[in-house]
Amino acid sequence: MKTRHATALWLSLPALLLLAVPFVTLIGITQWQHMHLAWGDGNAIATSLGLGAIALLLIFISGLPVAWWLSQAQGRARAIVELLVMIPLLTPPLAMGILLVSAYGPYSVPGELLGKFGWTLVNNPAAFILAQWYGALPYFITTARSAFAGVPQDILDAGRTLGASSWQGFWRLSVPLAAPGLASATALAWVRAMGEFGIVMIFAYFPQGMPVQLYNNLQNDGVDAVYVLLWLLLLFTLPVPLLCFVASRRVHSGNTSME
Amino acid sequence: MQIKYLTALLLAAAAGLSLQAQANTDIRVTYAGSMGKVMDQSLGPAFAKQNDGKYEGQGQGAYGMARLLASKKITADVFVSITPGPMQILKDAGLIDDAVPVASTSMVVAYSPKGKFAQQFAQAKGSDASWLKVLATPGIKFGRTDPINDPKGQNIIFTLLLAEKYYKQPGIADKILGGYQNPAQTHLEGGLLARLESGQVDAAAGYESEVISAHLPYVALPDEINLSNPDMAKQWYDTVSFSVKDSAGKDKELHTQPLVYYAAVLKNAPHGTAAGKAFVDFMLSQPGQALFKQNGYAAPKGGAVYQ
Repeated sequence: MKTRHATALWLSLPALLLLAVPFVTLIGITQWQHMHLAWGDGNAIATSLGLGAIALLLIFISGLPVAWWLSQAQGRARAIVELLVMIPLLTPPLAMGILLVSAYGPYSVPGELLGKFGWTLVNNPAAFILAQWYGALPYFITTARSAFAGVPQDILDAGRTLGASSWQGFWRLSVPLAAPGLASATALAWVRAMGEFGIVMIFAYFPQGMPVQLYNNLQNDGVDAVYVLLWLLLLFTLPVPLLCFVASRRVHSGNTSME
Repeated sequence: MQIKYLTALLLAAAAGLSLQAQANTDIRVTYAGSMGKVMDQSLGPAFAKQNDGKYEGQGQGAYGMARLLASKKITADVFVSITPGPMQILKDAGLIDDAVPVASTSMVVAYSPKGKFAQQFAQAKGSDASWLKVLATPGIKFGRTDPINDPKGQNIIFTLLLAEKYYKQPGIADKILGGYQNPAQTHLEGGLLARLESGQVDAAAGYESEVISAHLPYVALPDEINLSNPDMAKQWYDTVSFSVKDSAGKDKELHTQPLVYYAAVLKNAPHGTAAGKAFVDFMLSQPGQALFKQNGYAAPKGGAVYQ
């Protein structure tokens, strides 16, 4: 058992090294004595975290039913929904941004409808949230669906035999049992939303979150200003996935101790 | 055993990559983002064909590109910028000696041919204030790039400030712009293009060269306000300025720079300075200038900088 783990660790080294190289470099090239924020960095952090949290909530609420349904469904309907989730997943963010401009711009059908109420989806918080929603939702659905698919069917069947409605089966059995996977899905959605640049730069350049501010810092102040904001981005966005992982491990160990 | 084999394989692959030979007629050019078409589709391929080599072009916001070059995060044989501003960054980094003008352009107002205001723009002329009045129509969607990080975004503000004086329409610039960094109008370069081409903005600030390359209709503007003619600098261009916030949050006053494209050979050119010089000479040669002209660029204006 132990030797098998040792071999696995050795085989993991290339991947781990690959992942570590840029960040070891970052530690080396950051000018620690001259760390200071560029103008607008603070706002960018607030924008990313604040609007990102709203987007994450929307992603969770809208994505969860799709993921669960996909894990249960069969036949042609499932294939169509799978395709619908897969297409935005495959679309490069830049292209997605261009599509969103055409779909929600002021002269599109939805854009003109919104315009009747005096609303627009151009460079405002709503557009920013929509960009993150589009960027992260397919990732959330795909990961959460695998989590639901991992819930043993006989447990759900047993619940049904004992008289649980499908709503109860979902809340009392599927969600708790899939919790570790759902936590990963949430973490992934958060990371994806925070780093979203391609869609945002085309569709919602304002309000400026951290990725756009990184671009501004490069244009205006050079790479040193990028490093500072990158550290802050990591510092502020890491807690959410870390919490998700901790929570999922706790649920997981709770489950096994019950068995 | 397996791991040793793997390591050997990796080392061999790495060695193979680094040994890849490069002919000295290859060229790597970095350029201001708006030049994509003329560089990657005209000048680059023509030069590669003439020299039987390989052309690599990389375009991005000119300031960001200059900073990546200056901090040696990327390397190139030649850098082509619009306005002398980005060049100064390379000069300060000691990477170039001088920069020569290779082409020029002017500010224009491009409009969506399918938009609600297309007819009004088509009838408007630069010789009177008609185009300004169309731009000031309530409800018109006007697009421009961000003056904080893009020279073009600064230039349209200068043009409108000059137009205010030239056509004697006090206050109209502010009416059109609604603030220098008005989120309803300001986009990143790629975003603005996408909006214009998909008909989601009615009009956008642009350089004549890129607008011609993109086959979009536009209103040409007189030299007094289009920032193309260094001879107009003293009497017109130098009379306007505005401020934006710098990275410390302080006001930084901006002044116009002529819309001339400058090229410089970098001292750390990966294919050698001779290759870089050959590409600059090609841009200045008759065939090179003909390609610039085909793509909507005007002839170089003014002299070399830093000489």
